[in-house]
Amino acid sequence: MTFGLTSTLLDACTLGVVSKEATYGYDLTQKVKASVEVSESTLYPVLRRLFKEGLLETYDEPFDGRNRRYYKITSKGEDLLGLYTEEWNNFKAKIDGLLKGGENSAAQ
Amino acid sequence: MLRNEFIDKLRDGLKMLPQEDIDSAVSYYEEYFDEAGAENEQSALNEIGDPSAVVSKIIGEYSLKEIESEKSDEKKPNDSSIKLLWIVLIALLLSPIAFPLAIASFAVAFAFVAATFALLFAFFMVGVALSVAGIATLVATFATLFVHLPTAIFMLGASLLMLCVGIAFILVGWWVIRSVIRLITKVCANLLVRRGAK
Repeated sequence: MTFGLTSTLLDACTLGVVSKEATYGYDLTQKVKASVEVSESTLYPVLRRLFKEGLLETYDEPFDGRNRRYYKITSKGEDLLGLYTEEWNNFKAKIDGLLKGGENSAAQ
Repeated sequence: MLRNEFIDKLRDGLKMLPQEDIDSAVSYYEEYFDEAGAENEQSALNEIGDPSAVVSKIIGEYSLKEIESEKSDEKKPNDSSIKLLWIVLIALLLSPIAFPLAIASFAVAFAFVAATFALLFAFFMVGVALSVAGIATLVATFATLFVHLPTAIFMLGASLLMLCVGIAFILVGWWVIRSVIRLITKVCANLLVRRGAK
């Protein structure tokens, strides 16, 4: 991967994956890893931070005689995801414009 | 590395944090290895590698969060900011240092920090000394009050002046020391977060 993932972008991606359906750590890591290069260890601190900021909530469900902790997006998380999505689209449009030759080709 | 080794190292690295934070991290990774299943467990362990990157990141983020909440709640006991500084400094020392150069720059930074603190402490103690002298002179004023009034008035003025300047020094010194502690903690915590990020 030529372009790096900033920590805000990783936050946004995590919120995006979780917003579709509640998921647990391992599953989330596999989903994110399928698209971008992230180390298996990076996602826990991200989940923990998003949880502490009230953007995610957790609930436990028994599975196979042990516990699975699911992460679910909160309405505050949905709001932030909306903002991130909008910002990202904006950013992407501008970069696309530059890649196609700059000037005023960026969608305004 | 074996699963037990990983969990032990993780727990050990986080031991200065509140129990709840330790338990949360440990149960997350226990669950993670369970999900990976017996056949994938070793490859998951290999890929995660040493827990120190995770430890650095968790401690860094914990500290940043604590500084934020401390700023909004001034009534928090002051020893918590010193404890926080201690936590990040230890975490920085224990985090994987890639080059000997990093050790050298760490030593220079440490010397700089120590010198700054010595200077600030001296400033603070000047304030304390002035205040104590002011109080002593104030007491002595009463002794001279009925002996020689002009001397008593002169001493009263001198003692109040010393007290005012002393208290000002203490307040300013205290405020600067607190700010410096916060600033250093923040810089270290950011280093930890970035170092863990890869």
